[in-house]
Amino acid sequence: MRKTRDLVASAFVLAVAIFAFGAAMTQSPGQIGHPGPGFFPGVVAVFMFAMGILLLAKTFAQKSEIETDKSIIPSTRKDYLRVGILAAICAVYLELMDYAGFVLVTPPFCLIVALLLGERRPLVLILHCILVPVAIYVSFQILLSVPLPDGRAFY
Amino acid sequence: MEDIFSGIGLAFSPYAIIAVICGVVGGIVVGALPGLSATMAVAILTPLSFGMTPAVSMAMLLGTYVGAVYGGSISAILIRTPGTPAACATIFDGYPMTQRGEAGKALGWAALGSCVGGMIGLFFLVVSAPLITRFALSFSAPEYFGLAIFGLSIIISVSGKHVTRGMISGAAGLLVATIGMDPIQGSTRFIFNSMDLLGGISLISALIGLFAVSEAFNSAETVMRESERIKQIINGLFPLWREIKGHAVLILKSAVIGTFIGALPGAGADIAAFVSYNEARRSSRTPEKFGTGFVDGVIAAETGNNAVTGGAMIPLLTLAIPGDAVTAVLLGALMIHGLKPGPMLMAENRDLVYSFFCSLFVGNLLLLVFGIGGIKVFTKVVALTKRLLVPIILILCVIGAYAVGNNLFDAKLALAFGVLGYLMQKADFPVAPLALAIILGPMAEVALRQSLIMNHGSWSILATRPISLGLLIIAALSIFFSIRQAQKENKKREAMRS
Repeated sequence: MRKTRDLVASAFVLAVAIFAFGAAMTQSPGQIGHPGPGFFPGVVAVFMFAMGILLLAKTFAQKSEIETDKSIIPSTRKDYLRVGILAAICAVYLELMDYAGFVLVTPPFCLIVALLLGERRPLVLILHCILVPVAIYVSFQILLSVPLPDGRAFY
Repeated sequence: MEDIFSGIGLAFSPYAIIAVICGVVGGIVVGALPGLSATMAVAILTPLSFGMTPAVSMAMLLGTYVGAVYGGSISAILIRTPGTPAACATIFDGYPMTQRGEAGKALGWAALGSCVGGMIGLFFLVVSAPLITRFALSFSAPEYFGLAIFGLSIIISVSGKHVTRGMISGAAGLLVATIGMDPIQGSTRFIFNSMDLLGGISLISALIGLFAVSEAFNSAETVMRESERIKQIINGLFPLWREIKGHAVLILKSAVIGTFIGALPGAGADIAAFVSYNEARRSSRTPEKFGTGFVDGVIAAETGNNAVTGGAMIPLLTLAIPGDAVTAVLLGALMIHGLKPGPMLMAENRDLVYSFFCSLFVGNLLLLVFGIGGIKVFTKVVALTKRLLVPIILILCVIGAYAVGNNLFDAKLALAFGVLGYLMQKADFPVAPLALAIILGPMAEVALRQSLIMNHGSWSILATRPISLGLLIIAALSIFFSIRQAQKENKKREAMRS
């Protein structure tokens, strides 16, 4: 399992390095005495490729069974699913904030994330989704005069 | 002598003392909030200072400066979120200490290190400003390249047992740093037709994403197994005298590094923190402890970054050259008050300059008072259950990234970097080298290209200038010993397994 993961990681690194080198080559590498915009990323991409090859070689050389720390409880599929859902909620939150602004979308975000993470006490949930946005709004917008997103819908 | 007493009188007037208290408290609060940097804190308060006298105004702004640089460490230590880029290196050991229940100790040392670092920086500012300025101005492209490579050599040491992966992570960071406008020719690179990428990747967004958002995802992964919260020990917050004595050399060395890097135009507190941390690890008898919650890591990073406050004032006051972004704002504030920073400032407004020194002194003392006094309040944050803490961290991350340029694209970038950081951790790729390379990459690239231009394409310029050669040799030694250390540890682990 670990070997497969490392093989995938090595392949990904090599792909990124090749892509970066290709992208760097679209820029001017410059002349010998005057390196251009493509010079530095080109050098870094070659270095990354070399490291990718080294990682691949190490992966092939490693034993298939590597003992893992028994004291660490491994995460389950449910745990990873929770992280995936949380990332998706964050992405939706940002999209909605762009449209509806901070004030409208933050309380439901607080509520949904706390519920997703297992908080079930109704009073705590209510206080959490009211107090947190209010505290952030007061700190940033009022005290520090740092504007928060208004939302395009209200322009 | 008369000017000195007059300066002391100006700095210790009731208004100036109140101003510096407000500045330090405000700076700590703003610095602790992710995304709000020391530059932003000083910039926010500058318009408020217009109606004040120059001495009172600078007392407030200097207090804000030292407070904000220290404030970044609070969120870095407690929730793995660098309040400012300068606190990025503090995470490496500060956050593991919090996970062990030693947040109080980490914050105590951070406050003390910041205070002493600031004081030593101030000492150098007072006694050797012209000398340091002359030395700093002898730095040109090859020396900056040497400095950047020395900073980047820390990649090996922060990668632990995954050296190859750390170097890949660092290379990825260098590539990320090249996105946007080419710093020399002004052409666009790797922006994929997105105008949002024209200015490059926001450093704050990347740091917030890599450290804070990814940690929020990690917490979400393990939240159901959260049996009990880690009890934080908050007794004996102020380090004992014998502990301070034991760390005196480390503190002094980090402060000297921070002061000098602060005096270099363009190199700020973030670079100083990394270089101090790297040097502390390189010269330590127990380098393997760094990154595991070792207090020396916190001391080195915090002393180094706060010493910058004194160092950055050196070229500002002597030559009117700002050492970093904050001193650029301070330069503006001085000019608004009708002062002319530079050689004539010391000649024409000597008493005022002494009042600035005194205000920096008071600001650093207050930083220690509020830093230690506030620990019991700060640590309440980690007493919250993760079920409630994670949404708060995520909202702060989004707002912090947004606040940099009032652009939700930066917040989306922070989320993307958060996902990247989380996946990297799952694949055993350390994220710190990526962050480090994003910080130092632009300096390394510009310095290298300028060096090659200066020497008509010949790389020999890097080896023929003593400072640049010295820095490159130290970097090479640091890399060599770090790799040997990692190999030793890997062998030890293999032996234990078999």
